[in-house]
Amino acid sequence: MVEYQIKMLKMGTLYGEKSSLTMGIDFGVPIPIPMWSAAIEGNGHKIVVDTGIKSLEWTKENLGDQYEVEQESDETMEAALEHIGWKPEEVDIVINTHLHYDHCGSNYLFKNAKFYLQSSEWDYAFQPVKNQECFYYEELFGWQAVRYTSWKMLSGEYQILPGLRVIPLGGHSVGGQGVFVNTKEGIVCLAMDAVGLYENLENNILPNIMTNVEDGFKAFDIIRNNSDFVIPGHDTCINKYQSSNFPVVNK
Amino acid sequence: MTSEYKIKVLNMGSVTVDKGGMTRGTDCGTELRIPQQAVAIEGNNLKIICDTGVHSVDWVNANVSTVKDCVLKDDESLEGALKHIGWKPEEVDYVINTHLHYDHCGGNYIFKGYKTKFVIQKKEWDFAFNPTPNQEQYYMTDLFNHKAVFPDQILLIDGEIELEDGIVLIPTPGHTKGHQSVLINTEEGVVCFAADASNIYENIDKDIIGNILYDTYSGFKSMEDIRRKAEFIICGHEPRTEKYQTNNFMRIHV
Repeated sequence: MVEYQIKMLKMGTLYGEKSSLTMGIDFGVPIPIPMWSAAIEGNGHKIVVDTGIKSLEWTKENLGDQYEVEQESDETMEAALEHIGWKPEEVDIVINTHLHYDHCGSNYLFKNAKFYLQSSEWDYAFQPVKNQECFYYEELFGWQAVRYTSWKMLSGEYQILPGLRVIPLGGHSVGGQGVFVNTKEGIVCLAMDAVGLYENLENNILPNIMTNVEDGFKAFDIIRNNSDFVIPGHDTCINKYQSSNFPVVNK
Repeated sequence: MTSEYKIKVLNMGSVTVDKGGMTRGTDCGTELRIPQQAVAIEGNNLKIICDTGVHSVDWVNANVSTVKDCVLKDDESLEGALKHIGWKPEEVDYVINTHLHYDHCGGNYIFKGYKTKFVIQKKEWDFAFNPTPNQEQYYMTDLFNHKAVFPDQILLIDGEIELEDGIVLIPTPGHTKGHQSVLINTEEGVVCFAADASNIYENIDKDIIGNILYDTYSGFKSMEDIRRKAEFIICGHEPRTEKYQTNNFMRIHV
């Protein structure tokens, strides 16, 4: 089986309140919320999973005082790629787990890539539930950023490459998906916001940004049944440029 | 990298219509001279034609109540237009019929027996044999059925598909039940051949649907979908789009 190498790219940090990531617990507790993307290499491909925010300025301007945002100098997508020796134009595959602004903000950088998304997320992004309207910006994923002919719209589970597949993980958004990657250590699930924090999966506590609770728990089961390790979308337990020893999925 | 294609607009003759027929409830009683337009696409080792014009001027003038004075110049039959751009019918890989009204499939027969595949939405195919009464005069089944081409040349599809790298077909119903539009990746960006999902530019620009109608709700939705997925548009009957135009198509987002 083909094996891939994963490197975690940090796309900055939001400062928010913990219960936004853990439904019904730790109300009002302030926490740092790092935003994670991943660079995956193997089988002759350069793959990026989620693309972070567009820029610090864009985020401040559009999110207002909802969160405080910080970005270190190597935490823009361009700088993070440069740090690992990649150029945006070398990336041939981008996978968006979903289209919240902090997961597709730098899509526009990847001019030579095919973009993989669940078509249900595309449809949902134009008509989200009211409390998620503030997370979707057409300018980040629409014609302004990505030519429609570069999208690969998926309907369900799909093997993108040998040893690398996506499986729908709903709940957090309608058309979310996780990326399941074969590595030397085992199968790593880039769950991103289906498991915002490791404690979501570990303690069976849903993230609080949630379209459907049943789908959210179903996503946990899919991760438990299909992977050995999990990468949460916003946990400080992940380190910048981490490439192995990801958090273990306890069955 | 996604393949890029070159586009050439072909004129398939012109007719006089009432403007209200193009733009529902707007400028009724005003005459408008409009072209019938098709598109030739080349790239990625493929030759593709979208829509094929009319088969007979006399038939149009005698049978279609909503148009008059149909005229075709020498290079405005599909055969004449292909000759003008240096293509042979047997070289064409795909004909995409946006829908099966007489002015969009009249030249299908010239590809009979060649490698050409005709790509049509299944819903349009079914509707064409059993249209609503208001559309009966626009469908002539012999223009697209087994009498026009071999049955194994016909490829019926259901919904959005990526036909080839850089060519995506999207359902755009409203004008008819199974109308589709063609997204083409070009050097300048994604161009949508919308055909009669936006008869003329005013339809998409001012959000006015056409008057030949199957379903109003989906007509508006289809134009919204085109806005989301393309940067430029080629309409089915826009007088300002020029014969053999290759670039600088009309911008959707202005």
